[in-house]
Amino acid sequence: MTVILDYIGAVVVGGLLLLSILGFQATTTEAAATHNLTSIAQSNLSSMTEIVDYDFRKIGYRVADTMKVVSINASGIAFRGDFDDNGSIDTLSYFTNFGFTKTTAERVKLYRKLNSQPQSMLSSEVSKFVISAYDASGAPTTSGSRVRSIKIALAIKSSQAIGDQYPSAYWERIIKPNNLR
Amino acid sequence: MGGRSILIILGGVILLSTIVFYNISRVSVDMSANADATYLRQTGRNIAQTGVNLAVRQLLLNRTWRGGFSNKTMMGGKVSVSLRDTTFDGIPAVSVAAVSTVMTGTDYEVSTNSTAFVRKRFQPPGLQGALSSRNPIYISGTYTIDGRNHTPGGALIADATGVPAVWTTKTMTRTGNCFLGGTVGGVDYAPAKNLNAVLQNQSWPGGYPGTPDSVLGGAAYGFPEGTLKQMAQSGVGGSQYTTNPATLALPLKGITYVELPNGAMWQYANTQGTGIIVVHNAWGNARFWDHTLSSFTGLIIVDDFNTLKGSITGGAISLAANPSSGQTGGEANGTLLYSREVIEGLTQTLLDLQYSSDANIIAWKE
Repeated sequence: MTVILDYIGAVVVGGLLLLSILGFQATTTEAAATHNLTSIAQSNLSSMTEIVDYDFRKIGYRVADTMKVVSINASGIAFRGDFDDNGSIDTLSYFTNFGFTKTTAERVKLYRKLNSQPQSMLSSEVSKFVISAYDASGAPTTSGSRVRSIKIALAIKSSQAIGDQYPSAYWERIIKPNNLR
Repeated sequence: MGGRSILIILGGVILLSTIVFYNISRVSVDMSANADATYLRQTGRNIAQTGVNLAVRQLLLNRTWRGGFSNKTMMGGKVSVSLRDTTFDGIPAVSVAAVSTVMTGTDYEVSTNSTAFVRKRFQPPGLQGALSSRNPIYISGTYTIDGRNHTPGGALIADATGVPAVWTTKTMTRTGNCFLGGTVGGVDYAPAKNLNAVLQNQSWPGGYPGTPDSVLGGAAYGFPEGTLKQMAQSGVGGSQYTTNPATLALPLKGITYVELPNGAMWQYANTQGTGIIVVHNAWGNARFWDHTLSSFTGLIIVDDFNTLKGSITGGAISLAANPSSGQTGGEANGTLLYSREVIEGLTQTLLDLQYSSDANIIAWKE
């Protein structure tokens, strides 16, 4: 009888030990996966922000008139500058398939379009892309000729979920393009 | 379950955990590296822009400074700045180029460029000769017009960097005891009773300038229409604006803007002083005739320019398409000497007066 109880006890204890080991294993694996997806999201975000940063800092370069920011509204932003430094003025626009005010958990596609070239998709995992423009006094404005600084808030959310969580990364910056002075 | 089996299971768990933790650690390092790279790029950009701003400040204090600096340590990095004379979209400028590095000499070194183009002194595009006009030019008496380069004091600088004595879209007639000298085709011609230093029947690409601001190159050169008048009205640098030249205070300084009524004349003008004299009105027929024996150092922009009797060192341009006498020049005994130092120094002063240090920058290239 004692032997049987020993066996049962050993099975219970061994089972609990195994379960905790498996649970630990599952948790660390999930953490690793979350970390991995977050890293990918962050990497994608930083690649995209490099492009955004590069373009926005060049707003107005070589543009002699005041039409440097052509339009800025909920559906997109268009601005002018010599982005490829070839002496001719280009028009560059950024827009999403749902507009910039989209801040829900859904993801939107962010596009970049240079002159009349076909639009190129920068990311299909954008969960937030809000652009705000400010005049010289720091007051919000939608008048292109008055824009002196632009705030960009950009978030990427992974399309792969870990449980019910979507790893994400967020970037926000106020850019004061020198050529808008 | 024997002890050996438990050890094997434990060994497996430890191995798997090690792999998972290594993975987590590696990803964490990647994420940190990513954040670091972004930070370093931004730091590099900040350093480069700071370098440009430092150099621009120095340049505005000393317009001839082109020394730059190298490997200046700041904000955790280094920056080198070089300056050179250039043009930006045809506008004379000084290029101030900065190259910054952060984490210099390491595997993480980041290098960033930033360049600003700063306005610099220039020869007004509208001033093609010591006297420029779009009318027939007739001079008689004892006029002397010398387009060769001179010092502000009137001493000759024989460096062949002057301009023609007269530049006109029409013809030139010289009579009497008038002497014309100047620089044409890279050759200095001493004042003589001939037309060697004259360019006649010239054409002006884009149309002859019809306003004072367009003489200075207009908006492209930083002088949109109305700028000179506005500056004169503001009184900046001793400038004066009037519709009645009798109210002008002497000596003239800065911009002296005389806006005369339709067809009116400023006669026997005493122009003792320096700067820019503008005699202009909306009809383009403001007359500046019978200038007195006074001297003036600077640029004269006049609708209808006739009978110079004083001494001008700098340059003069007549804007009117149809002057009242049908010509520019007249019979007189004045002296007009071209001076590059006076003209270009004047444009520099105008830029300094008109623009703050930031606005002196035409464009930033990053």
